[in-house]
Amino acid sequence: MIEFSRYIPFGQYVNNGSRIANLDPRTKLVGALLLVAAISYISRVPAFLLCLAFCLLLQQMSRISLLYVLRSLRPFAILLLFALVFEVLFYVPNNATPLLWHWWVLSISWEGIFLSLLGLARVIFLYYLVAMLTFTTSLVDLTDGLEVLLAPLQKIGIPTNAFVMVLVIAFKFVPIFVGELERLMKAQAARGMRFGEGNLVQRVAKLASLLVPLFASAFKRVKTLSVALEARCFGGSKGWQRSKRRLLQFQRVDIFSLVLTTVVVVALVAINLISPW
Amino acid sequence: MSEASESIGNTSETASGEPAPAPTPAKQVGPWRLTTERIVITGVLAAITIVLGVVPNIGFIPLPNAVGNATIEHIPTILGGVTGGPIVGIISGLIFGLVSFFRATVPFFKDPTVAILPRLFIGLTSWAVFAGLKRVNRVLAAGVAGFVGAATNTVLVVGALIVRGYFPAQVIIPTVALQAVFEAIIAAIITIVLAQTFFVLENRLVRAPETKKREELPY
Amino acid sequence: MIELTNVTFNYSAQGEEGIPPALHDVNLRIREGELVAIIGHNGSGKSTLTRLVAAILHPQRGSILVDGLNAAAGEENLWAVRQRVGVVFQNPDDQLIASTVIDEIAFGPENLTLPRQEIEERVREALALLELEPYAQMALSELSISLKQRVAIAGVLAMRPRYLLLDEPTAMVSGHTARQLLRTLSRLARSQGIAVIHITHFMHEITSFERVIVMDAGRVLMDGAPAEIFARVAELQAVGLDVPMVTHLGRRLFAQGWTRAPEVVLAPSQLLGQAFDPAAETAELAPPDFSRGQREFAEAPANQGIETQTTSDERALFVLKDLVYTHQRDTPFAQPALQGLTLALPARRFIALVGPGGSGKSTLVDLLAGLLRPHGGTLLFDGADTGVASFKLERLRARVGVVFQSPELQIFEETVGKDVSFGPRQKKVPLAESRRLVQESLEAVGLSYEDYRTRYTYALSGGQKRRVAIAGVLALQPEVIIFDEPMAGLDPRGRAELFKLLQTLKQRDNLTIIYATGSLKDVIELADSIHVLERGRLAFSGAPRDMLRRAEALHSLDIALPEAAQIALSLRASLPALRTDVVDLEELVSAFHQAQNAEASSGEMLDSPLSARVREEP
Ligand SMILES: Nc1ncnc2c1ncn2[C@@H]1O[C@H](COP(=O)(O)OP(=O)(O)OP(=O)(O)O)[C@@H](O)[C@H]1O
Ligand SMILES: Nc1ncnc2c1ncn2[C@@H]1O[C@H](COP(=O)(O)OP(=O)(O)OP(=O)(O)O)[C@@H](O)[C@H]1O
Ligand SMILES: [Mg+2]
Ligand SMILES: [Mg+2]
Repeated sequence: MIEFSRYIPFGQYVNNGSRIANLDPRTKLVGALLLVAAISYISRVPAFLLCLAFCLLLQQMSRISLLYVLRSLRPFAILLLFALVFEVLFYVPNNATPLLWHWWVLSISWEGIFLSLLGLARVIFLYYLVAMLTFTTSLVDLTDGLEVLLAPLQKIGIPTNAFVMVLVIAFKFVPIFVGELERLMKAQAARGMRFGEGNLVQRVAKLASLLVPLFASAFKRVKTLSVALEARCFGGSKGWQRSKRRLLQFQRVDIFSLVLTTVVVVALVAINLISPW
Repeated sequence: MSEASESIGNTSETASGEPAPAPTPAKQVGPWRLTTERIVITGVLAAITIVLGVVPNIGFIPLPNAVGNATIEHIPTILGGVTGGPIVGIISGLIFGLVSFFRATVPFFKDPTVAILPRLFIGLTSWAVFAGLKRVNRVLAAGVAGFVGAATNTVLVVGALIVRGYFPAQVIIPTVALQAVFEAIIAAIITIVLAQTFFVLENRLVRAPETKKREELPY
Repeated sequence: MIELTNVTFNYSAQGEEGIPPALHDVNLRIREGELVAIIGHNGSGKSTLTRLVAAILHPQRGSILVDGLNAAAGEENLWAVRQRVGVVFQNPDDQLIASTVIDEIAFGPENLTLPRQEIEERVREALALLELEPYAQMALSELSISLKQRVAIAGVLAMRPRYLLLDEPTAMVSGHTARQLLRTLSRLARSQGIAVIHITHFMHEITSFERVIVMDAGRVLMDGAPAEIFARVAELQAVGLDVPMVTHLGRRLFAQGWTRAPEVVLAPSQLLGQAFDPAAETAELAPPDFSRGQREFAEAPANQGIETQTTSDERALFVLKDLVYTHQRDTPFAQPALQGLTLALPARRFIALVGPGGSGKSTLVDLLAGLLRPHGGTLLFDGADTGVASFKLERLRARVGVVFQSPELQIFEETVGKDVSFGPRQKKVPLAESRRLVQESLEAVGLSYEDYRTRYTYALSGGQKRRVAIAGVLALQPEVIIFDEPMAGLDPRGRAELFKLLQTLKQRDNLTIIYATGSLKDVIELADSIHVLERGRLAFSGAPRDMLRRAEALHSLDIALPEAAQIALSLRASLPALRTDVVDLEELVSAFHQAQNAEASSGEMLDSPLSARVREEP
């Protein structure tokens, strides 16, 4: 039925007071960034194994049920599978590898399957890291951490404070718009609209009849919210500068975590360079 | 007077309804300045981008071809360029890129040079086209901006895929060509409709013009 | 002091012909610590006034000085004025920006780039002022609308303003939460010396204010104490406003020769000759005296009776048995909405579903309209089980029309004509027939077909939007129409018009009307039967008059009683014989006379000239 809110794995912060939840958001952001970069780089099996080990450690410390994390992956399962097949078929092997099957530009080879599986593993690891970050960090913490981390850029004239505000506003409106979309589709269904039918033109028209009211409501909210923000003196200081009530403080455990993450990242890269396969 | 309050004052000035003023406050404040209202527009469009990205079956139209679906996820970014100017366009594009990066299910979209970098230009080209053409005809300008915005997306992403060596050009170009055309046309239509909505709201228009004879209408 | 001198403001800067200015030559002085109410019909310029005072907009003519500062004079002044003037808007969702209560309150001081210590101090102070300490760490999304409202006020107070403007803060809260809010406001004015300027459409809220400003078409029409303003009934009604019911009652009695009350009555106690004490009116909220009522009206036996009788009625249109629905089922955020609801709704009746916020009304409406499938229990529609997979929900939707809680999202086409013809178009009705349906439906809701068919839906006022939404449903020619809180946010005129429309719809044969609401006020005069929901279950059911006898139970559920019954309840302490199950003003007047006569004949009271006169009347 028309119920989207269930499927949104977005901003679903689970506040269980675990070690990871209690880390400073900057630690988690920097750590996640390092790991994302490393995982994007690695391509050898042993490196992936080390990565798996580290993720298991994270999972253990986060005290979040693995089932819950995996379930949030479910909506993507079909896409992932589809992508895997696509990858395998379109893999362009070098001339030496034997082909199992081939037609036009499509082909299947062991090498293609192997590399595509590694690619799939990479996607799952990256997804897992981002999911872990949002499950263990509230959106406020994320944006606060981001604001501090981006502060140096503000000095060279990039309006990072404004960018962080954009994120704050976006995070605020996502659940509101999901609810509105749900309401709209219900209103249309109640008056006899049948979704998922019709030819291309009709489908575009149906989509437009969802998007127009959604954007109209968004444009109206822009007006009211910007008035409300200005009435509270937002934009009153140069460069959208704001002070902070919350104080982010590195603890010893943050430093330890960062060091550990760095060691793991260096190890990943090193293994990747050394490993023959 | 502050820039921020200027923006509000000035947008309502636009509302006074000279024949066809641009529905953007860009002209008054200078397109590259940030105002509170522009920050809020960007945030709201970013929220829509995220919603289109995460709600199943919303962000695309199934096409009657083998390759798959025409995405409409770049529409908020195009609209950001059209309604808010270049800065709004770039930040919206950045957020669109981040969303598709995080949500990607294929390895080549987990590459920031593919998923994020090309997206920064969508709002920019849409804005440039719209700003250039709006004096000629607003509807035309919105349509072309939508078309160009979507085309920017496809061309730059495909370009990045080729440059980064994920696919050889002769494989990917024929694969996506048809879809790209569909996407650009759909984007053009939807951008016209949405920009029109924005204009109606901004100018507080009350009555729609009659386009057809009454006998041909269901109302 | 806020001083407006000859202020004129036009949204269209060039002063285009045909568009009158939103504010026209306004002169006002508001001192610190004053408690001021502003009333006026939709579009009279109230919100424009707040935007001007808060220096969001600047007047084209005239000047606005806040503590001697002119915001238009320069950047410095602008932010100084915005700090002094705090604004709270109608819908808290439009102004809250952070995700937890404490961060939200800190947002303003953070914008002022205050040092951390100072921010902490202000936040603590604001939390204390609005009694929000227990909620400090909670996420805003978990709060009820009235708590959000309080957070919004706290967020503004953390800026330490000298003037607090509230734009219809009570439009979205009801019952004693609204009263509590007003109490807070008057406390702010009295103990903090903040000027509170309260914009509202509800006249009974402002009887205890020091000053009432009436706006009409961009001008200040009246400005004075409530007693002066409410004496000018005819003038107020001419501009779409009204006086509180208690004032009407006072006038009626006064005209009939009742001499113990002044001509303009602002509080029920005045009817019996007590002096009006505005401070007492808001400072304390005496719990209504139910004890006496319960003794005389034996507990309504209807409860069990009606329930079993209707559920066993096989011919009911909807039969609900142990209905269960959980939002976000199977996630850590699961939120049970219906938890075993059993109910039968007969056809061709006007049925009211009453419950406090979050009791599951809207969820039930979605289920009845075939937009959700129940998670448990059964829902029979016209004898068919809607839970089985072979049942097509489209069948249900074709016969049931819904007017949703917020009309904004109900209307999704660009123009009124397109929107109303949406249903007929989906059914592929021929064009001529569709035109006829559109015309009929628009006229049924009191909108002119020619005038409205090409209007943009965005340009409609709240009341017009409701009507268009209803017309869109009528054009479907449904057998059942469900209304979900259709009165929210309408001004007195809009509410009266919608009430009339509901009355005419009720006259139609073959139409079942289901009406969900948070207050009894809307339905007491219309409904055939009322079902009270509480946390996803049926609390009790009964006829409208039975409901009034259960004031205590309703009060504990925060369901507001109709104004007439409320007045009767508060008079009861000094007039024990007064019936409290009165539905409207007429009944209240006659109940008052009866009680008066009873008192007089039992000799407890001095002879009253009125009771004597009434006895003479046939
Ligand atoms: N942003 C705007 N641009 C142009 N005109 C506006 C704008 N806001 C309000 N108006 C017009 O100015 C007039 C006064 O509107 P305002 O919102 O101040 O009324 P209001 O008394 O607050 O009404 P309501 O009770 O419906 O809130 C109306 O005619 C309205 O259409
Ligand atoms: N989309 C949703 N996601 C999660 N929880 C929801 C959703 N909609 C409603 N709920 C929850 O379900 C419960 C019942 O809500 P419902 O909207 O049906 O109540 P209601 O009686 O209509 O309230 P109101 O008077 O505020 O409109 C509430 O606790 C509410 O928070
Ligand atoms: Mg208003
Ligand atoms: Mg509801």
